[in-house]
Amino acid sequence: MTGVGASAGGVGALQRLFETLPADTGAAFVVIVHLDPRMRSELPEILAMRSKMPAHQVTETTALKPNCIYVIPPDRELRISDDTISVAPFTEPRGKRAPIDHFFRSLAEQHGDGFAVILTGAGSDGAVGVKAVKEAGGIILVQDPEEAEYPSMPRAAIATDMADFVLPVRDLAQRLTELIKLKARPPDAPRPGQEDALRRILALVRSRTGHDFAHYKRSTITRRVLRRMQLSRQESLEDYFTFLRDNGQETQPLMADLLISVTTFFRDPKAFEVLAARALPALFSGGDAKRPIRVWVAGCASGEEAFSLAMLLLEEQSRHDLRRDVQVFASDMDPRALAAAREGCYPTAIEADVSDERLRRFFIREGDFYRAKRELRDTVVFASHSVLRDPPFSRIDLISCRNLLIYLDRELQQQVLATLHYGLTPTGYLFLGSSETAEHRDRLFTAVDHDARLFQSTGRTNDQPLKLPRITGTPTGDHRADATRMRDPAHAAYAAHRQALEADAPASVLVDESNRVINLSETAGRFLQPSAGPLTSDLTELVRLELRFELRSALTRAFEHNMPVLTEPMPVRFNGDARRVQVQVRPRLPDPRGPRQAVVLFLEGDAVPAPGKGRQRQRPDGEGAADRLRDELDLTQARLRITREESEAANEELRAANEELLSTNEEYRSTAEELETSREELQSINEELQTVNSELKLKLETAAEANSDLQNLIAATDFATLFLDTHLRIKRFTPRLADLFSVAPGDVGRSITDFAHQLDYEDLAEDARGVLEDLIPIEREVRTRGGHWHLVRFRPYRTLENKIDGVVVTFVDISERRAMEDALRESEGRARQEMRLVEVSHAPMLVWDIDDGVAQWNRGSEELYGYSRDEVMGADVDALLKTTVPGSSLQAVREALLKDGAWKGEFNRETRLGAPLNLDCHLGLLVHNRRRYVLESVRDITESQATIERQRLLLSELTHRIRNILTVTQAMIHQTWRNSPTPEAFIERVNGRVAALANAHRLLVGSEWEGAELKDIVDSQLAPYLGNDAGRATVSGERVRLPAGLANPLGLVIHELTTNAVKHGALSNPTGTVDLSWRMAGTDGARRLFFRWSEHGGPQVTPPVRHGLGSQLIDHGVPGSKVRHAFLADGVVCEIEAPLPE
Amino acid sequence: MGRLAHHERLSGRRILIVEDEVLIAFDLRECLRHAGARSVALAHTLADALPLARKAPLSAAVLDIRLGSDCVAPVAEALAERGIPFLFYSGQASDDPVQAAFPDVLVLNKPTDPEAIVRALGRLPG
Repeated sequence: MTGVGASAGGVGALQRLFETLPADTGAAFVVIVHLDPRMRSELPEILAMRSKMPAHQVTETTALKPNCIYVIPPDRELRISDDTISVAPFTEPRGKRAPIDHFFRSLAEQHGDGFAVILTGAGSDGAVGVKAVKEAGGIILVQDPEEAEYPSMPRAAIATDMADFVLPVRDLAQRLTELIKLKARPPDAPRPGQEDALRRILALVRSRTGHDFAHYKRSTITRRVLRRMQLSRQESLEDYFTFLRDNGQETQPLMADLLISVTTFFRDPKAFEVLAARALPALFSGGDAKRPIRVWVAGCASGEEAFSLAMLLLEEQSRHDLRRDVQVFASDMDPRALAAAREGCYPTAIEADVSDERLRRFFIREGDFYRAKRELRDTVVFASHSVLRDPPFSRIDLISCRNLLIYLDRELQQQVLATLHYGLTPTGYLFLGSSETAEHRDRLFTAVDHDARLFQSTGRTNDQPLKLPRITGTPTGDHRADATRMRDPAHAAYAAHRQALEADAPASVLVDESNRVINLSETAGRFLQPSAGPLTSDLTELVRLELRFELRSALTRAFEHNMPVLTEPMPVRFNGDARRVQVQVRPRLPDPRGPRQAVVLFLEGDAVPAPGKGRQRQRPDGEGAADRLRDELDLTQARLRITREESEAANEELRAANEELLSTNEEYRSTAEELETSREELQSINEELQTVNSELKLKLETAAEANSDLQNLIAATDFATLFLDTHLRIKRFTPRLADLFSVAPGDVGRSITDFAHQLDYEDLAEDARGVLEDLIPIEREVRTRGGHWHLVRFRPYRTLENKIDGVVVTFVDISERRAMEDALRESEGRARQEMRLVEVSHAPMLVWDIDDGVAQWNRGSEELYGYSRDEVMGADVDALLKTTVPGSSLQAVREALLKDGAWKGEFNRETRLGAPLNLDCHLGLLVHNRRRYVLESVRDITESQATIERQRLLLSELTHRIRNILTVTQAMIHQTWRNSPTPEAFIERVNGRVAALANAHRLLVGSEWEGAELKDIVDSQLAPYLGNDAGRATVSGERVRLPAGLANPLGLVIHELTTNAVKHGALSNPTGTVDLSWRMAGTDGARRLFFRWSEHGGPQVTPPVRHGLGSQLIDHGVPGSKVRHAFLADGVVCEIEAPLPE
Repeated sequence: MGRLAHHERLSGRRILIVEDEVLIAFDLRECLRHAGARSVALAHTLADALPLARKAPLSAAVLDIRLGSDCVAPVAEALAERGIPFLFYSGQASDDPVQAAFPDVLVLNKPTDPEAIVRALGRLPG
């Protein structure tokens, strides 16, 4: 699995890379580049053209196959899981995205031993990712920045110190091929014979770097050296040793690999809980409250542990009222780890280990990273320091040294524990990793919580001089070296000699300048006899009493003069035998710059003869002097002891001061590093500022352009515009504003309320404030004092950020528009009146479009034709109403209309119900909007024609009746003449009959010749003969109206009956009466009238002999009637039955 | 009554008078008899007149055009079918459709001297 990251200039580099790569590497290649999110990417096609492998753009989750190229799609990031690759949308906003880092981290998680390749590109994407890959055991290849088109990305990757290879692209491709091949063939397991080579490698490292890995656990070391071996293409450890020896630059990467350590925040959370619960409160409550709490994190790697502890400490600190400063020293021997730690910048993955609360309090989110806040970073001082090599920090309250001891062998562990113990205060705590222990042969620590690996110093001072620093000696190695050497014959003789010397040479002791014993020879014990009291290493206190004085002075002299000193022989009593002993002191300087030493040789002489005699002999002359000398010596010794103690105290202080200085130095160093970091930050800020500056310059140009556009716009708009700020002060105005306000260009900044204006508008300022408050634009039509009208429009002034920063007022002269509007309104009103008039008029009017049918249809038309407006709209009016033109044709009318624009004449039409209509018609043509409208108004003359006809008929009827009546009268006169005996009788009869005809006629005229009531006919005929004697006739019968044809003859018949009764019948005497009655019979269509005349109480009736005209009239006067007569004694009865026409 | 002395002129003739006005019909019958007509039949209604016009032995006829609400046209047709001459004695205007239907028939407008009717009948073909 190989991830390739590239950016600017990457296409060329990728082409070269894949051109060189063979088709059968067996690896899958994933190409991550920075793509424009909106553009389609052609990269797969471009790569496929150059490469022997197929290239795909990853658009969905895809299973990875070897010998294929997979390319990132635009606007997505890639992830690897197992053997598939998937796409996901970016979680970061554009500009903060780091797809290469993202992918490399995913690669590191899933395929720890993958390859990461960084090619040309701007920015630093990938730098964090390669670290993850490297830590996971992957190999990092970077394009040579010298070759890269944009060297920024390769440089950033190289700056992490993670790059295994920095090469031009083609070499990179070759190297990559080889590496993939090597990887496919795992190196052989280390053979026992390789042990020697490994040792030599470590010795080489030690000599070059000063770091001794000999006591690190062998398995770890082997694994890591093998990895380097693979990287440097060496077949065996021996080859690698040669390679390392010949290539000094390989030392550093090897050393870096050996030091790789992975740590996390709050690793073993339970242990940290115990620490927080049991150790930290004790630290804060105990000890000197003014002294800061000092904590040392030995082997801090990239700082997670140090920051974890610092967080706990800061949390604990905030729980206490009394603030105690907290100082965390974090040390590591790997400078790269320290650089990372100082950065204090961790991927967001730490969310898994650090609680949200702590993230909020102690970290700032920066894109994909969390950066430690200042409070946390200031608490921790990072220092380059080896716990194995360098003197420890002192007076530390808590040491955390986790997962360091596990890398060391037992002996080195003991030494480190002793070192740590030395650094701790007497009650200090030690916090170890989960599989480590603080067991020491001198019981330096007791367990506070064994599971959490929390220990406390026992406070016991270590009797052994602290082995600091451990520059010399790798016991294992040295012994082996000795053993090897012994196999040499020359060495064997040397060893024999040495053994002889050791057996027979005088006993000797090696001391330092303060007389402390450094080493004793095998036989030196013979001369030692410590005095009672605490055991000390001072040789002068250790040797036999007899030798002390002389030895002390000899040592003093020897160191003073730097020359060997031999004392006088002194008698020393060994097991009762006194022997002479001489002491020789020879100062040595093993290291020209180091402290001086001295070898004390005890030269044992012969026995002291005759103790009694000899003493006796000497005593007399030596007694007094010896006593005096002894007193003097005692005094000197006492003085010397005091001096020595003072000196020791001073020495101690100096050492403490030295340590303080060392740690201060560390702090200075870290401060300097922080300053360096700040400087870099400043530089990057500076670069950002430069970018901002150039952007601003661009913006300024745009703004200038916009401004000039604005100026032109203002000049081009010919109406007054006024810009006011939120206090209604003038910000800007157009020249035309001067027509309305007395403003001059110098008035900008003055309040608008200060100016007189031409407008009849008192509320101008009020409205402006209203707009500022409500943000709702206002429009007003305002009159000027000159009679013009202006549209004043207030709008809130919105800045580009949508902030309200005043009001814009525009004044548009709308006088002309208003006048037009008024005229329009008036004509509209008129038109509406006329329209309404047409609509409500009963006169039929309509408009039709010659092409589109009926367009208007008023009430008159609805009434006349019977069609509603909705039914006829759009219809062809002539087809609908079946128009015909009497004496002409529709076509002729249409032609005349189009030619003359008007037509007048008669139309025949039909109503909806089919009734014929005769219309007097006026047509007008109106062409409007290319449409031809015919306006039609008609007058219905159907009715008047009928009236004329009726009058004509009436007249002819009248003529007929007059002629008829005249003829009847003529005939009646003729008849009467023929039947009258005398002219007088003729006159009388003619008069009576004419009156009878006139009466009937009168009744008919009264009813407009429609007919007459029978009762009225009867009354009118009887009345002239009854006069005041109306009671003599009784009339009864239902109401019946008789038509003219019946009324006239029946009237004449009744007249004849009456005149007969008056002459001869019941009415001829004063008492006779007449009964008239009638009834109707029969059904509709065949009704008959039965009329009965019956006389009573008249003179004796004799049936008439001669039938005169009267009788003829009675019998035949009513056409179609049947008449019966009865001549009773009491009076005449006449019954007439006549058909009654409908 | 000297004017009515020429009673020989209609001698032997059988005349039908169709007239709804009884008085006119009586007067006309009197005049025709006086002029020597052998018989004079009176009909006041269409119903009375039609059987006479179709069957009765007739020499000539005097027809009023309007008979109440009826029209005399069927009678005229019946007479014309039998070849019996007739004349109209009418108060109608001259554009009456019945007159138009019989353009050759003499029309005497009411009122007329009964003697003129007699003369007209006398001039009708025997």
